[in-house]
Amino acid sequence: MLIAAFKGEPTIRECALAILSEPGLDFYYSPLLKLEVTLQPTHHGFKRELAFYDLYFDNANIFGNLNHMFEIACPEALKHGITVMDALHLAAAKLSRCQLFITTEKPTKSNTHEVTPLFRTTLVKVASIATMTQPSQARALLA
Amino acid sequence: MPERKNGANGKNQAKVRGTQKISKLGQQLREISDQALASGTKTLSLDEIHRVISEARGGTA
Repeated sequence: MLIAAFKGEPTIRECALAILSEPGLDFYYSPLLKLEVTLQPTHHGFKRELAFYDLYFDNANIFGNLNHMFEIACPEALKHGITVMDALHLAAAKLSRCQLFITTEKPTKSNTHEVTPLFRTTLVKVASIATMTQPSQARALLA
Repeated sequence: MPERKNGANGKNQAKVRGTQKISKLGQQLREISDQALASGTKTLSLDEIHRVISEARGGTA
């Protein structure tokens, strides 16, 4: 969602920024997420993009116990076929007691309409901004 | 990964943009993004965003 908020096409960007602009929310992240989103802009020297992510991470809360995340993520990944990194992110959300995990992944696969593995988890409620058409839909998620 | 807490949050105070209350964080993030897009940063489609994430994870798009 952070990449979408920084440089997504207008609709997805506005939806992501609407969530990040919602007053009274606490945001949580794992160190793995930070590495994922800062890898390319750091490598390419994209200073504005890094400033964007740094501002977010400075204002969010980190959950950094990787061993504990792995303990939760491992059975969840195996049970639902969730990718390793997504399972670790979900575990961090669970351990941080987040109410909502927001992603740009689509809830169903476009070719088979099967539920995307990430959305099969029961660790935390997962919501997608991928199919939203206006920021009010994003804000409604948080109501 | 957001969580709503009761009461005010010192890290994320509200301001008003138009008729919509927005947090200080949201306002500052939008400013940086606006500046970047105005100076030529290419916008990405959803598929392109997923490709960037996949590359960061070491997978193939």
